[in-house]
Amino acid sequence: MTAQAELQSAIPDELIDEFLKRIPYLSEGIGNVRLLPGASRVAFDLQPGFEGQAEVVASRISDVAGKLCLNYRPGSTRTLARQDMLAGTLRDDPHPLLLERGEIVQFGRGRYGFGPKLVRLMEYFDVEVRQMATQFQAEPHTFPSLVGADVLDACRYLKNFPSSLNLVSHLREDHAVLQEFARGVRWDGQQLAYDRNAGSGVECLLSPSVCFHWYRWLRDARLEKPRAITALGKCFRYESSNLTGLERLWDFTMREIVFVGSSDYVLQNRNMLVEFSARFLDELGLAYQISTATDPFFVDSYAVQAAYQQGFELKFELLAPLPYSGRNLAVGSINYHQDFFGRSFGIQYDGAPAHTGCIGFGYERLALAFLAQHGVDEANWPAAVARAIPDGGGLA
Amino acid sequence: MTTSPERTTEQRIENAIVRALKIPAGDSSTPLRMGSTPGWDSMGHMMVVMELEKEFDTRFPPYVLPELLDVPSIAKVLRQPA
Repeated sequence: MTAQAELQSAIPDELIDEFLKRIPYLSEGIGNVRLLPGASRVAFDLQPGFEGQAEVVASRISDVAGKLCLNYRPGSTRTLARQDMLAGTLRDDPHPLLLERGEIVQFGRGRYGFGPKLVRLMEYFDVEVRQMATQFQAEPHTFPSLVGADVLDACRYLKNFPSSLNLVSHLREDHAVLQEFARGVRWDGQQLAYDRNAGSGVECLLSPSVCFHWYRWLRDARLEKPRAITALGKCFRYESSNLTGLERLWDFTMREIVFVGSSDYVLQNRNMLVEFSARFLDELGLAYQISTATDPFFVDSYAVQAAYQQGFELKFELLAPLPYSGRNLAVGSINYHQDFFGRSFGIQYDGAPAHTGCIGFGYERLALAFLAQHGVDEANWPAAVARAIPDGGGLA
Repeated sequence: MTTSPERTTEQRIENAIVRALKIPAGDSSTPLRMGSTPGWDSMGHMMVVMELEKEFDTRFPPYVLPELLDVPSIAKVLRQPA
């Protein structure tokens, strides 16, 4: 069935994407959401079995709109660097060709496998970003894909981003439970069918980011000098029906460079990161912009947190346009956390809570933006990239 | 005795900060300043901002939020022409 929600006021243009991304989380039965002309009404479909929820879902949609707009401050995005779309940029969506040529395989929602050519392209990106890291004397580290629930609790991630969490559970250490599970477990076509009481409590989650591990590593440390590190990791963020091709994966590969020290140290490095990132994207021959942005905080506190983040310009996003859709894709971000993590983890620098900052590049998204703008034929790639990739690297 | 308008503005700012951060009445032991007053962190700052906006019936543009650090700086921003 189709239903409609009336909003108290029209959603401002700048908030439309943010608003629509949140609707899939309002009900398991919702789909095909459309913001109607005028931006003050939303049409949506409810799957069979959820028809009775129409009123509740409409009210939740209105509530989300109200909370997003509550503290909205218009005109607050600032662009720090920009390269406009290059002439001759391709308009084809690379997904069909990549699938056809066996360079990617979709295993499920937001889950893809990558073939050798794409892997080589992402390895090339990583060589370049690691080189960027050496300019900050960033020491290499590795971290697990699992992160302690205590760590995400300490930095309020559980409360700020509940919809994207991936809780990790195992079966309880109980022989009878294990026997019963082994006897009864089956794939029902959509999910694993088993007795939920067999599951353990949640000690760990799949890590949504790389840098949290480093702040936990430094817990209660008294740093005598600022520290820079770099690490590559798999990150996991559940995005419901927003999971779309390589644009929005459930798990993705991110390299971060992380800074801990004084405010001046972190901000100075942040300025250099903007410059280095622009140079890196220029070398890839990409159109892009580096602009202030906000995180997708949970709707109940979004307005307040986003306004703070905007006001203090704590987040810059590296956005690359996708010519086939006309939309911008965030391929990386540069973040300044002030002393938030220093306070959360008791990290001291120069007698005060340490300031922190980081840059993260999402390699699958960067690869998508690269292929969307240059095409899959290596003849159209920047010479430096095509040359640097073994075996040609082109997909033609 | 009369109260100057400036004094009144500063008192109103102080009262708004005290309300926003739920500082116990009569507690004048800590200076009212972001980063020094207990609770005036990033979240607290936005509580202060929203309380000030309500008190003075205004809306601060994002770029002035980092300037609202204490009573004098807030008063200065409020006195600037819109």
